[in-house]
Amino acid sequence: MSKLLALPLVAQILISVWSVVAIAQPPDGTQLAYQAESDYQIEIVADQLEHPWSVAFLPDERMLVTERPGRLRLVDETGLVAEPISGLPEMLVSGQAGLFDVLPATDFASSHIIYLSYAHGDMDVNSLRVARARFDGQQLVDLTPIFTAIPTKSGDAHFGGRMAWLDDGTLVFGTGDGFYFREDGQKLDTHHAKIVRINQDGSVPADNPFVGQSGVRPEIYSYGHRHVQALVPDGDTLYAHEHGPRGGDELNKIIPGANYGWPVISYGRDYSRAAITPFTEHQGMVQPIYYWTPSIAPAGMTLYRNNRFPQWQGSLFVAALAEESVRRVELDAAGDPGMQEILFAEVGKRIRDVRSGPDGALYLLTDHPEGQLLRVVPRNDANATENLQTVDNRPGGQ
Amino acid sequence: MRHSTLPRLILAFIAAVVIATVWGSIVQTQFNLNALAGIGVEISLGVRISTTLSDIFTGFSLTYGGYVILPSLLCAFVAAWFISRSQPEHAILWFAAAGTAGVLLGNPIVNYLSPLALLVGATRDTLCLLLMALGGTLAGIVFVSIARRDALPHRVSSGQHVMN
Repeated sequence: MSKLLALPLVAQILISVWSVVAIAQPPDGTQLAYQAESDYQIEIVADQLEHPWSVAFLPDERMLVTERPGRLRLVDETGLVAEPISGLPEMLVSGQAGLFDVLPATDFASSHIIYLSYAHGDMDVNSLRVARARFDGQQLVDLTPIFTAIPTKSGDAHFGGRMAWLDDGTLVFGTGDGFYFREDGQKLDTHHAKIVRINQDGSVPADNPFVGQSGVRPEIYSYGHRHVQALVPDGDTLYAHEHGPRGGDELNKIIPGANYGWPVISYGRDYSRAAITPFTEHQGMVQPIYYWTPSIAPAGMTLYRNNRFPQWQGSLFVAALAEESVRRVELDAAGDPGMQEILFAEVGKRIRDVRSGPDGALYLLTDHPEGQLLRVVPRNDANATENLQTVDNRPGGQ
Repeated sequence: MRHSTLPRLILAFIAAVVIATVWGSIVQTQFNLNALAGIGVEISLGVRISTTLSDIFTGFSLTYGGYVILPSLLCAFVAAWFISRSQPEHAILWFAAAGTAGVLLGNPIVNYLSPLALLVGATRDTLCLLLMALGGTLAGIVFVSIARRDALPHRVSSGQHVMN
């Protein structure tokens, strides 16, 4: 009797150990490279930022940085301005909820308009909200909400919030499944777990894929996303990535109206290792162009188009929270991912955002209570900023 | 406690943990698959069986058994042990009740202590949690049945009981 009972337990333990080992393998033999001899250096532009989430560049070389607890900070030529920008709306600050992205209008130089995404409401009734406001240099004025996700939900997880401009001047942004409402990914009467596209005033573009269909939110651009973390347009191509559960973080090329499958298809499992779905493919559902298992927890993303790092020209850079690095993803002629390189792991922090600056440098945000804004420039670069503290990223450096 | 009863208690506890874990795994798989069926996905019997077996044997059981069931039943059965000292004739009821309560409380406690919003996603449906808790009930009954009378608190004569 005792042997009979012990057998399933032993088998379960052996199989579970095997599955843990198996899931740690790269999914498809993608080549990985590590930066052994770095040809860059990392400068600290600003610190004492509380969970910074997004950085945006203004035309006059100033920068705006959001802090998730609900503050918008200005970084100018002297560094971080001590006083946060005033005039922000009330928002839900809890768990993953708070202030997310900031995006200057395409005509910011003349309009001084910025767009903010944030969690609106309370723990029981909340939504992702996008608002626009005018930044007068010290405060926000004329703040106007232009989008509030429907329906409201409870909880403080999976809001999405990353925004980007398409070439036609429309605004796209990602939402999340609220963690508890994953089936909403397949429901078109809700904004949850979608990529949404609106005009700059919040109205619906006439050429959105579901305009005019009964029972469908016309703002929806694509659906079946778990928790969109970044959007990067490149001409006619829109790249997006999203968090999977345990494994299955996805990099996608977004096709208007397409279904990306969550939660019907996924390369990840639940945090408990249970199968959220038995399927990785399903008719009518688009496959990712790449997926990360185990999860790297992708955050911000940028496409590098500058000659300051000629060797990085044309690569996608993906900030990684769990991996505490930035993935450089080379793109082939078709825009599909090739070799990947793990960068900036020497910083030793969760990286929340990565952006290409107008100066050709890469800018990073570390996701910590005392987070930093970092600038990556070529080593011994003649244009490196003087008098800035640097992170020694050489092997053995501190 | 006599040394000879310890192996039997350990065996009984392992059996209880395995039964509660496998039961919970089977239940949560059905809820996850039913959620997919609810949005129009066809789930064949074959897919249902293979997914259920996959959850039992490739990961979920180790997570659920290790993080939820094992500590929950350990605490619950220790409590039931002490209660059974005064009512040894109702030991099976106390252990079954303790097992049920252990699973019911263990899930939210682990969720609270972990950085994740929900370790077992299927328990976002309260009915799933309640049905998973029946595994704790079974575990209590199995524990008492295997441990047998002489390994648990029992009366040796009217008005007395023995702690082994």
